[in-house]
Amino acid sequence: MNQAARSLLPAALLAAVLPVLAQAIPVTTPRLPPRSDGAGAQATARANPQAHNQTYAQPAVQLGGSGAAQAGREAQGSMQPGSYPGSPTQAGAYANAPQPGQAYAYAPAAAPVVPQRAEAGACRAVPTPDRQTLMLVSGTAALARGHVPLGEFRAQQVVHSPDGRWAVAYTKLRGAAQYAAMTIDLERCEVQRVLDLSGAGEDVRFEGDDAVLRLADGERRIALRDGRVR
Amino acid sequence: MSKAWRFFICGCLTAGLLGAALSAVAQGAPYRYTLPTGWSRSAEGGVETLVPASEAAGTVQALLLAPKPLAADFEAQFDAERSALEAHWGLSAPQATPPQRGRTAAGPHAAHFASYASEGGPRYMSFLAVGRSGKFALMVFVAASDDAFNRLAVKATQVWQGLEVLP
Repeated sequence: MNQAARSLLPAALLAAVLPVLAQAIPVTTPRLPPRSDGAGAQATARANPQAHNQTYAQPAVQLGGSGAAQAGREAQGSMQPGSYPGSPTQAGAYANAPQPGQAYAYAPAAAPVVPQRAEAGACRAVPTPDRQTLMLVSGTAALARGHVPLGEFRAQQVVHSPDGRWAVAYTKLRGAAQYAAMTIDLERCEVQRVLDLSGAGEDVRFEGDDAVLRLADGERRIALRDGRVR
Repeated sequence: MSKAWRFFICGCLTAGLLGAALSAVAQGAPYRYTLPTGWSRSAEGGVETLVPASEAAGTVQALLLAPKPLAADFEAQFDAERSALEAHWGLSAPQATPPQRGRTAAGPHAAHFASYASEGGPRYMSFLAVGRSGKFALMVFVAASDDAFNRLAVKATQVWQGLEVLP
C-alpha cells in the first residue's frame, strides 16, 4: 500500500501543478516611484470645455463643461450614415443585444479611489472609440456613470439638445441597412427608449420636449418626455 | 501511517480548503479567482470591486470589469480600453513602465503599470487584461499613493494571474 501511495504521489502532484503552470502569466509588478507633480498636474486635466465635441476616436484627455452647456454632435468619426453596404436586414438583432437598462459604470459609486467619482447632474452621451458602447458621462471630468452596450449596432451620431436635457443617438446594425435611434434623458442619465428607424438618421431638431428626427427618407417626430411616438 | 500517506492526506486537505475558498468567491459572477487574505469583495453593476481591509477606505481597490467579446487584435483592444478608461477617469501625465505583453497556452495577456495625475490627486495604477475563450477580461488596480501601490499591487496582479474567465 505504501509502495502504491509513493508511486501515485508524484503523478498527483504533477496533475495539480500542471494546469497552474500552463496558465501562469509571466508578468512582474514593478515599483512605481512617487510623483512630484502633485496638484500642479491636476491642472493638466482641465481641458478645453469644448473638447468632448471632438471626435471621440482621439482619446486625449477629454474633459468638458456641464451637460447643460453642451450641444451638438458627438463622434461621427469615420463611420458615416450609410457607410455600410446594404445587405439583407437582420431583423431582431437589436433585440439580442443587452438592454439599455443593463448599463454598468466603470466606477462604482462606492469607489472613491477610482480617480474621481462621477458627479451627479446632467449627463452627456459619448460613444466609445469602437462605437459599440455609449458612455453616459457627467461632471467637469467627464466621468462615466453608465455604460450602454449596443450589441451588433454601432453608434453613428449623437445629437444633444441645446438645453442639455436630451440626446438622441443614431445607430446602425453592422453590415446591414438597419437603423435605430436611442433617446436619452440626460437629466436622469439614462436611456429613455430605442426606436427602429426606416432610414439612416441625419440630424435632430429639438422642439421643447419633442425631437424631430431627420432621416434619409423623411422626418419623424417623437415625444421625449413620456416616450410616446407620434 | 507512512510519511508519504500523511503528505498525501495533507495535500488533499489543502486542495480541499483551496477549492472551498475558490467556490466561495464569485458565485454567479463572470470570474473565479482567489481573494487575497484580508481583502473583501463587492459587486455592483457588472463590476467586482476588491478592497484590502488594511487600507483606509477609498485609497486602494481593484476593479474587475465585466468581460467583453474578445476582438481579433487583443493588443489593440487593450490599448483602446485603457485609453478610454484613462480619458473617462480624467487621468493625465502618465508615467508608465515598459509594457508587458505576451501569450501563454491559455491566451494573450497585457499589463500596463503607470502613475497619473488626476483632479483627485495622483493615481498609481495597473491595467491587466487577458483574452480567454473569446472574452476580453480587464482588471484595474488603483492606489492613491505610491506606497500603497508598491505594497499591494502585487496582490492584485496575483489575483489577475490566477483569474479564470467563466464561460
